[in-house]
Amino acid sequence: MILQMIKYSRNVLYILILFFCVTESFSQDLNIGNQLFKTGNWKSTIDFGHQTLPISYYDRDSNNSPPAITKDSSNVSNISASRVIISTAGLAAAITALHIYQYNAWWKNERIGFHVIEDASYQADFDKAGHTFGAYYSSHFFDEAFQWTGMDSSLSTLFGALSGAIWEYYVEIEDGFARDWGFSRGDAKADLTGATFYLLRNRIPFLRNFNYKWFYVPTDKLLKNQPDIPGQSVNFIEDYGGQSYFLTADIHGILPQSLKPYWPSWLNLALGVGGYNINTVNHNWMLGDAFIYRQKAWYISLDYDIEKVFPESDSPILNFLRRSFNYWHFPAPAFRFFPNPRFFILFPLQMSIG
Amino acid sequence: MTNSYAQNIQEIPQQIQKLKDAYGIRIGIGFRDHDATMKPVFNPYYEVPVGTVSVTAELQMSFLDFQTLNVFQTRCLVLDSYGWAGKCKWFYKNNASDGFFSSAGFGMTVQQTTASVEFPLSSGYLSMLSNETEFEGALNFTPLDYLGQRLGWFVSVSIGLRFLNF
Repeated sequence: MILQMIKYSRNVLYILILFFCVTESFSQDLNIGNQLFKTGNWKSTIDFGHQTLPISYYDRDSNNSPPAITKDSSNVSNISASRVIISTAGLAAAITALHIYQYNAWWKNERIGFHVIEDASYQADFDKAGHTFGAYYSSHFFDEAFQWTGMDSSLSTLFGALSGAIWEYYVEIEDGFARDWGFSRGDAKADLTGATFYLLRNRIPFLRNFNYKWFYVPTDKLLKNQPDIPGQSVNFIEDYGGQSYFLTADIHGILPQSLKPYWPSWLNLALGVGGYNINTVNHNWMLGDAFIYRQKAWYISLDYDIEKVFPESDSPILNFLRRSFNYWHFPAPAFRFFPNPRFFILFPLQMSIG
Repeated sequence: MTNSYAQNIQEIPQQIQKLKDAYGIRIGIGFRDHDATMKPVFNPYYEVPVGTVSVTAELQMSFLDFQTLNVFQTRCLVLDSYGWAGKCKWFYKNNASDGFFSSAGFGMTVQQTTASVEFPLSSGYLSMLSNETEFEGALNFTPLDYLGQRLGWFVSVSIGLRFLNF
């Protein structure tokens, strides 16, 4: 246990050093916006260090006319040392808490040499949706923390996605050294998909119309602690029976201008996947796969765009909550089309017709 | 409909930031320390210049061999390895001109039976094709740490296109 803590302290130290180096070394350079704002006029070129671009790339004739030059607007790209310290401490605390939580749930049993496994049948491959979401959602929180320090959005998004991938791969490597688990190639692929989608969605305007969301309702597996591996404890991450994941489309955003008035901007359509018999274990597993009854279920559902349901606030914390809860699919009418068609009034709450 | 001041102040920095973005696609051939089979390599990346360096997030993919890279039968696409890397990239050239670059970074790849931490090193040449497109040729050497099992390496030669002002 002590060795484990020393090892983990070292990892946290690496992350802190990396974060400080990144933010401090770049803090003097992140002044692209300032070149425009601080001078009080629009220059003919912007110097990016190794590359000078003509200002004509910025569409000055568009409807987005330049804002008045104010003292506040010069802070767009400035990194604040105090915010770096606060966000670093916050990230370190969150990472430490998550590690301890996962260590107690999964890794504290015997450690062995690094090994790779294929675990497609475990949870009917449904856990891959969870891994994708884990990388995607953690990228969001890293991005928020980096952007709050004053990084511009392109850099914070890039670092956010990289940090999401690093975190998920770290978890996977820990699995690789645990006797009861293993480094899963499929999980790693899903982790990479989530971090990549986060980066693309935040840099390609059309992809802003799509989002990846989840919802979770605790099941008996968690409430009565019924782990798949005896001796371990169930945590909510592994309680796949209560989880569902949705790829949502902002129909209002996709529709041509003439049709936009006919579709509310806060209402999305979603393709969902959830577990079906996902907590069932084949007790005659000696004669076959222990997880043979587990399946994925597929849904079409309505979805709410939380950022449009709740208008932007003057409070940064409320805006952060708005953005963060927009990764949650709140109960909405849904139709399960596979494997057993059924209409749900407010999925994933179990009020159904059919 | 006119945009509010609040919308403008959000949108304009985004447009300015987009001036800096670049992305690229790199293809090549390479081989690994314990496997002499030539592997097709495919690396898309996204790049944000910061001062005199660029920071790059890159997807690293290599396929089993050329026979498994049959684009008309996608089921034949067999990944030998996949992973990601974050890199810093240095340019030894003037603005909007041809010149050399080098990069170093950190990443992870997953192979057929194992996984590794990697430290990719690259050096190459960029040639302007147009105001927004550059041609890239590079030599890449990647030391690998197979997570306490052993050390290894991956070597590749690549060509690619880099698109500026994404």
